[in-house]
Amino acid sequence: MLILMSSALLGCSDAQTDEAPSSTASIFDTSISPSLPIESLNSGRTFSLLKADWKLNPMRLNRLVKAARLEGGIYWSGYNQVQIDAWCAAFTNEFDVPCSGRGVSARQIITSLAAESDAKQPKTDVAYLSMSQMAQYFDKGLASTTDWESLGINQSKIWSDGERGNAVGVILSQYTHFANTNYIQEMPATIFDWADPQYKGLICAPDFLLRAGNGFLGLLYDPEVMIQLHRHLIDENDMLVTNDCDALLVSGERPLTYMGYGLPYNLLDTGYIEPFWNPGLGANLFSHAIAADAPHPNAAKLFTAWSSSQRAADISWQSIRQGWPAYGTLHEVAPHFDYDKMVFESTDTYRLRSERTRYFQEKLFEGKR
Amino acid sequence: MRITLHKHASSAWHRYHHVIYPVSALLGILLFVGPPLVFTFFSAFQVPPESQLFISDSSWGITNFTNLYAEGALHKTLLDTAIFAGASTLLATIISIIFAWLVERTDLRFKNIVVVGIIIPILVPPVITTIGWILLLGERTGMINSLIRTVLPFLQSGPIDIFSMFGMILAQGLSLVPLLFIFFIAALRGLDNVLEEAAQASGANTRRILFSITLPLLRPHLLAGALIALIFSIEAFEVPLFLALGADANILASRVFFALNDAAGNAPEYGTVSALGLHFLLITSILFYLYAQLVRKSYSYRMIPMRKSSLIRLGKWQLPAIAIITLFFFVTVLLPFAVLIWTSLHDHYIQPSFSSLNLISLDQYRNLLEDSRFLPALTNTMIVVTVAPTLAVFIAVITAWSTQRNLATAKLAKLLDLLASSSIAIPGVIAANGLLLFYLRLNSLLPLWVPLWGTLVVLIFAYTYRISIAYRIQKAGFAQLDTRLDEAAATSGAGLWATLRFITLPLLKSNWAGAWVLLSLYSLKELTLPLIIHSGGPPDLISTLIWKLWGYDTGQAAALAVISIFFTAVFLLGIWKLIWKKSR
Repeated sequence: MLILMSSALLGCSDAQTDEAPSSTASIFDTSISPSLPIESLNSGRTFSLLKADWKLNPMRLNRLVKAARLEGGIYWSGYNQVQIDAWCAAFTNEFDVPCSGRGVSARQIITSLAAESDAKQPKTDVAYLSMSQMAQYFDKGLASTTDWESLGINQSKIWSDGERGNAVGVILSQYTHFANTNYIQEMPATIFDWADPQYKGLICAPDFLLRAGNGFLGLLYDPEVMIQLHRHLIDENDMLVTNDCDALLVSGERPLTYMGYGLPYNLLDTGYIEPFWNPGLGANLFSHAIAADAPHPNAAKLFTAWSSSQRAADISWQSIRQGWPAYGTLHEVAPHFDYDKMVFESTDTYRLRSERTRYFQEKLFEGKR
Repeated sequence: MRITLHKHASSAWHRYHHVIYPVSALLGILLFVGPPLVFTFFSAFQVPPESQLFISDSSWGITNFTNLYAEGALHKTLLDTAIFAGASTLLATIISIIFAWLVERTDLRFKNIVVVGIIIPILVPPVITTIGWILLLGERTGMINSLIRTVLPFLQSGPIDIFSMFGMILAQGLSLVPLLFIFFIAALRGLDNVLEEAAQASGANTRRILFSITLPLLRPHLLAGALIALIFSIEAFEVPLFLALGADANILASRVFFALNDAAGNAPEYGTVSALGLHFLLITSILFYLYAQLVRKSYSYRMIPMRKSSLIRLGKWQLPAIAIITLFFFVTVLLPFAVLIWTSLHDHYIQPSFSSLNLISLDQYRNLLEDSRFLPALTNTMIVVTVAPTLAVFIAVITAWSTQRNLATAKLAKLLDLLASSSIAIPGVIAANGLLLFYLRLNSLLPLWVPLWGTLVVLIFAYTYRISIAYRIQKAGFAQLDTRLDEAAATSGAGLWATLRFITLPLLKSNWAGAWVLLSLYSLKELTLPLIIHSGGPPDLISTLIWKLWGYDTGQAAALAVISIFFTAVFLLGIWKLIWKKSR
């Protein structure tokens, strides 16, 4: 299986290199230069194959629900308020335990959680983060260690970083490029093809995702080449780096979004925004961890365990089109989605991915921003 | 003139009034203006840069500064901010003085409508206008650029790119026009045009009069207004936050935001931000000092008008003048508002066309009302924009009363005046960083059952730091009020507090009410403080919710922006009816 995946990734990339249409792409060394063994870059893909649902024996569940109700409810911090509201509504409906939460942008969420802890005013019970950001959460000593297996969660979904806490994987999603097909007919096949002059002035990159996403690219390709490429995209191909690209994409102002995320309804429901992928884009594992100073620990345990269930994954998929592929949502992803092209977040890759992100940011923006 | 104590005052309260009121004012100012200054200063010298103040595993040093000079491209931040602030100030000054001159010195028609049209943009939060500009000035599909290309079809794209330094200057400069317009109107009103009439009688044409007489007489006011606008531009947040990245510009506000919210997961660099902040604090302090000197000097140019001024006849220039003002109103008010309404009636921004009319729906408003954050954001905003200004105006009144009625000793009065006036020189992003550190530290010392962090209390206190705006208005009011009324009250047996409450405050209603309304407007528009202090977390306000929604739902962001503008208009109308109409 691993050999097949490696071949697919290598074969895919080589094929893309051979097919690269423009001479611009040949300015760069387009060969892959993995920082880790290919099987490590793909190891996170096993998460997408885990079908085991959450199962807790009824007696234990009742005890946990009673304890959760006595605590008063849970409060959790994540990225997307729509997902938060959908999960909270379903959780409360099922267990009669109040639930609320706040959506904070990926750029600000760690600062926000750290500040809350520094202020010694614990509010968050559960944090929902990508693996790399969860590692930062662990590093700051903000997460607790919980015996998740005893709460009915499949062991394969549980991960940790030494003694500093553990987390449960609940959602898988991925970086995605987008094209406004009213303006773009030929999409870049590899990241090097974005340098083609035909795309000059047409590209927008969301700032946070550009930086964070290049953590993945830097695992597959030479990080120095990535910096050269992106410098070229900004300087020569007039790639606009800004806070958010959705309005510009849909209006046609910048009909290509480089390093967007997921499969958001507001884009795909237009009918003319198409997602597409290049080799090296990242796939994230989003996890829940209980805060070290969680005010409602039992409610937090119940919520986290429930969020690992198929039911919760389906609700998340319906609300923001991010779910757990093994539970059957993969078929709803765009037809040309190909997991073989992705670089996966896993316990093998997340630390080095963070380093690549830092390196990319420092070199591309030269410490100015 | 010193107020005489009533002979028969016997209580300690009356005997020590000259201590209690000024000291209370001092404590109030120190509570709200002190923390951003103190914490910024000390944090700049604490290493490592991610340290919070006064915790055991940090030390003191100048590493934050040496790193800034060696690696931090400080010169680019200084240069880019100088270009951005300087050019937008120049643009705003030129437009404002032209408009002010047209309104005050010429027979321009429809003056009342013109004044309202120029001032109206003050009501609109900068986060909303910036979003409007992004939609209007997209190089390829922006409405304004499309219109220009209709007239100039040889242009392939643009010509205006909002994501450029020029675009930023345009957005920021136009946003300053209403404030400077009010400033220059007041200056022109205080200038008797007897010299201009004499020049006209001697045969000088309008242009000669304007450049040889009017502008030189207005020079101190022009410079003073420009300096205040420059300070506001240096601390501008919304325009750099949305546009600086795309423009590859390194502006103070955006630099601070990214240093505190790093994409790669580096800890917030409080020390670096504070070190950077001290540089800008020095610059804005110098600018404020120059402004204060110019304001003092401008009184020597003041000629109290003794009669109604005659107006310059525009003649054939009447129509072009009205056209320019209409264009300004169209570009800065009507178009951004229209594009926001248009966007709010769709899922996302689409270029206006007849075919897209059938896609109009109220879904975004419906979705907004169902958003669990909407009502709390509205409620929180109403609380903050009423309580914070009340607090600030109260302290400003007590302070102005203490300094202008000689309740404080000369030295204390000078100190109060300096502290109360100085907060305007603290850039909002720097104050936000200092306040963030202050409240983090304070909260960590409080018992758990005293909730402070993450509550509205922090925001209310933080918003009150802009006390200087209220103070300067109260100070001017007290200075204009004859002290004989206070003496008459004292002679009749009224204590100081009774005099203030029943005589002075009613007479100064337009001052304190005006200051309250102004601070309320600032609070409504404020994004810097809540976004930096609470890092995107709760409590939500309208401005922070617009910022969040813009990230993933343009239609809802636009819907909230439209609701926010109507809410502001209704709020102001209600205040006007409550305060001004009642006083007639």
